[in-house]
Amino acid sequence: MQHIASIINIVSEILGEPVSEESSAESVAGWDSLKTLQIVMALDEAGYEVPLEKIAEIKSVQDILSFGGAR
Amino acid sequence: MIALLSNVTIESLASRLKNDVDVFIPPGFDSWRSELLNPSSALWRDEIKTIYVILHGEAFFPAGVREDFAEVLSGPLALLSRVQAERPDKLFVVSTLDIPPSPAMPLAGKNFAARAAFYWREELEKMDVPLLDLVNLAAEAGREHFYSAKMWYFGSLPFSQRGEILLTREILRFEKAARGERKKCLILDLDNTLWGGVVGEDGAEGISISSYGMGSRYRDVQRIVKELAEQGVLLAVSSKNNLEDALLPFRERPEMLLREEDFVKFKADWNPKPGNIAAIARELNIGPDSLVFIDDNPLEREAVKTALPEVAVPDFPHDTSSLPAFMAEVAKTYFTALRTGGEDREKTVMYRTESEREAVRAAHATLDDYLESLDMKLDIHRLREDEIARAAQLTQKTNQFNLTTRRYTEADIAAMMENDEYRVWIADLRDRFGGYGRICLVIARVDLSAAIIDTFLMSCRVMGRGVEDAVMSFVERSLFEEGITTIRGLYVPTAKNEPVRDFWNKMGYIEEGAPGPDETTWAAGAPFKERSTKICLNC
Repeated sequence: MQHIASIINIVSEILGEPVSEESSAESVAGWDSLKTLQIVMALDEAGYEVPLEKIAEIKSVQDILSFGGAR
Repeated sequence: MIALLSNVTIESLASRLKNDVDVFIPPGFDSWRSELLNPSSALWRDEIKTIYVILHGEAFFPAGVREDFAEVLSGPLALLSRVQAERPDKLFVVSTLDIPPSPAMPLAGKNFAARAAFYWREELEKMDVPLLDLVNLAAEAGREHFYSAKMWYFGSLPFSQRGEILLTREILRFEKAARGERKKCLILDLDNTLWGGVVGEDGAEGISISSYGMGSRYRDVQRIVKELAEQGVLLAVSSKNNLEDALLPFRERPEMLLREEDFVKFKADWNPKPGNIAAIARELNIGPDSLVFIDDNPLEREAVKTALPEVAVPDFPHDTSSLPAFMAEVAKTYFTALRTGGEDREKTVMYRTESEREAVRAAHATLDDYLESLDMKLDIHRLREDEIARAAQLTQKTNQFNLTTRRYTEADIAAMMENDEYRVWIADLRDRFGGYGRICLVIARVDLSAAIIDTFLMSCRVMGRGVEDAVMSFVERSLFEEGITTIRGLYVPTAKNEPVRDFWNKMGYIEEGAPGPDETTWAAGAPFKERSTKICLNC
């Protein structure tokens, strides 16, 4: 639970607006591939690793939560 | 506006910078060379003042660094040298190359990676290019934290989030330096700031200052302060002490790196500090917004912040072992200069010599006698290429004797020198006590038979000697010789240039009108009036 909250926090900070578990690249304006990259960078620093192969598949907060297992 | 060029993906770094500065990045990946070579690139538009070339060292050597590294790097170096020469209107900043050694290198092997990085740095230093020191940034953060293998393999983006944030901060620091936003004077407390303990109680022998061990934290602080002074920062003391106590460590402790003569003002008394600090600004003829004040005592800091809100007053660290790191941060935050200025190094000497001139002034009955006795020699000439940096610095720093207060970058001045309509003169003053350096700058814009004085500024250190009369007469003569019969002058009042409100009137110009709410224009026609001064011109 705690991890979900902190991942959502990081995603919100990078996107510049609060997101929920249901948010996706389609529903959030300005969520482009550059933002996805910066989300992965920020998660990395916080200890949540999205595997290299999965980065291109990220389309939503759900994807991030399922790929970004805590280290 | 700045431009970022790179041999790797730079979009993410650009997006972080955009909160603070407009950023242009050219389209395409690894396009830095083609953009620099393309004369019609959007890179060359006027709004872009600084071009940052950020290069990932490893990307130059996909097969590893070998003995032939100089051949690989010579092309990029030649290109950088060429554009820098061809585009004096832009400021180029180039990164150093951070390349880790090959993991297969034997312990006694040749480290070509380090040699390549050093070769790159050395060649750029010869070009006098400001260097963005990627090697040092990565070293301070640690490569493991500065780079991200994941980002590199995913998107050819070498840096981690941490790395990009550090680069962003460094670029913004460079921008501040490029705009000439540098403080002029560092005012220091003494007890528990430049040494440990209280000299008035502990005596010169009792204070903490030494070459090794505990006392060396203060020696290290002094070393940074001394290096700032060598780069032209004026030093002053504001200490609550008896003057004779305050001077003791400077005279009796050889471990002190700072000496009495490093300070242009030394205020050790029991008066409130805000008053002393305001006096230092007044005596040096600089604004309180050019001052940084360092004191370990939070009450003193608060008093100064309240009374003089323009003075920068950084918080003091709690743990004395972090004092040198604190002082290093102060140096970087407030005193970063783009280049070493020869004038800057001499400044402390010049300010001190001013006190000796005061003594002579008292001995002469009339001002004319005094000025005569100074044996002043003014050298005025059209601005040379090697003086562009100083000219830009003068427009950035001069507040009082400045008729229009137009701030120009080095790039702006260089562009004027290329433009037929502009005349730029700079003047250098010497007297029998020494040189003042280049202290006066005039920019005129010529249109047919008329000229307008865009900028007339002078260092306040030479006010009241008739320098402005000598310079104005020279400018009028030069313009007249090329057929100019009308000269117009402009006065744009600011919070600080009250001293020149009456300038054009004194020069014999007639007020023409007020183009802006606060501006006035003035004009004079040929024949222009000769002014008598005690200054020998170009002799």
